[in-house]
Amino acid sequence: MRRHPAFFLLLIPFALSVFAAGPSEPPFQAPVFPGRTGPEQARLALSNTFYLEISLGARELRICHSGVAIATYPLKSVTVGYPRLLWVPRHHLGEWIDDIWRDAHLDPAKVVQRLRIVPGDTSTTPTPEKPGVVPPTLSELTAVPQDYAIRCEDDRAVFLHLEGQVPGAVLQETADHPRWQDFLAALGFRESESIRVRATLSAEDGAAFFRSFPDGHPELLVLP
Amino acid sequence: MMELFDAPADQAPSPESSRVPPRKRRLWIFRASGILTLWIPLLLVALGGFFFLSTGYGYRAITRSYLNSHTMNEPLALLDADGNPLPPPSAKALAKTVPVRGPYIVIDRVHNRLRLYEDGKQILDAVVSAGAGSILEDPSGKRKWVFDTPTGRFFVKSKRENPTWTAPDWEYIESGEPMPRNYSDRVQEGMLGEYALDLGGGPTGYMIHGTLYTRLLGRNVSHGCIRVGRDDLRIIWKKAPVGTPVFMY
Repeated sequence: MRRHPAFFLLLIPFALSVFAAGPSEPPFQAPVFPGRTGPEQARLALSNTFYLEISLGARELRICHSGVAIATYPLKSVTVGYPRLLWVPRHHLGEWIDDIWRDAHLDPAKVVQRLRIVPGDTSTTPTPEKPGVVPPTLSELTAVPQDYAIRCEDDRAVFLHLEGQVPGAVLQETADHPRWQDFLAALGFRESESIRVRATLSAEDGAAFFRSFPDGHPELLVLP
Repeated sequence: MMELFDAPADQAPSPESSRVPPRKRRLWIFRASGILTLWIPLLLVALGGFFFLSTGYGYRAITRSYLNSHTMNEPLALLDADGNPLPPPSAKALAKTVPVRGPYIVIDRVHNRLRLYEDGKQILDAVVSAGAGSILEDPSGKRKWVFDTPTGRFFVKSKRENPTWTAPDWEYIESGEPMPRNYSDRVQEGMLGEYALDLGGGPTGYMIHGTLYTRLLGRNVSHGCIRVGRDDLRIIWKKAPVGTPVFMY
């Protein structure tokens, strides 16, 4: 189909406007999520939820959101535990690293002791002139145990031991000795973990992680 | 007992001679009664201890070679809740969501810290005051407030210089003052410092703003907003434009 030359003249202003405007958007820099869990990391980055990462190689525990590690907690040591009977592993752990563990939650659960304000009672209220009674911080309202676990789906767990004196409020443990619990689990009297990662953190980092643990059962990426 | 039989017939056995000699009495632990009362329980305890020690969890260090030999290799497919495959996330959406470039703010409400990053590098670490986490109930029992700083991702929606504060109902309930009839009576000047960055969220919206209570920075005292000292607020005002992501955890 032949077009009249005037038609091409009409196209000139359009072409000029395209050249004058330049590219409509600046070239974007797409983040790269390599490795086997890359697609899951990309999905989590877009999910607008918190998620956790444990990097076994870098020895770090991280709280992440939108592809950003917003808090990082260094691990002093990391080991992996396997259930055994007469020193023989009850099952072969196989390949378990570079995977996503779902439904992560704290054991014991985090409890914030909230204060109730008495309406009209201004005797403790601070003003710019007088200090009043300074309310406790969230560190003082959230008790942290010396040992706790992040439990996930399929009986997978990360056991965390805090080295040193826990800052702020401390949760006194009343449960049986862990060794005794493991013994009962091996005999089938208690639930046992299929994979147990055991890590040690400083008391400051471990307590900070416990108190900042995101609500809503986040997902945990176990990275090599 | 042999001594008893070897004694002459005309001699009656004395009570002393019928006793077992001490040397032989010590060996009772090797006889049937000794095995039953001592050795079997000891053996059972030893076996129990051996079993206890050999059972439970064994641990091994995660070394580089362990990582290499236990890392999964088969590709991981994205699936929905019903197990159906999902398309890979688009690079454009990721570029919009993940703050690879530009500023973003991270607020640790537990430890009352605000960190400002630019191009992934931390440029400010400020002591702030986050929500107290306390509870206030209306004396009529109809309403209840929990003064928490929310968690999640927010964005700087707008910025205000010399902002005014419109006191909500809880301010009057908390202080026990009568609720003003006119809206204009609720407006207070100077309470929020020099600047306020609106983050949205909640019925009245949360803000990063200045404070008169600088003595309480580092404590959880606010009603959910983030109170910042004057000098730090000036840096945030300068470096964080509208649209800056703010992560609160």
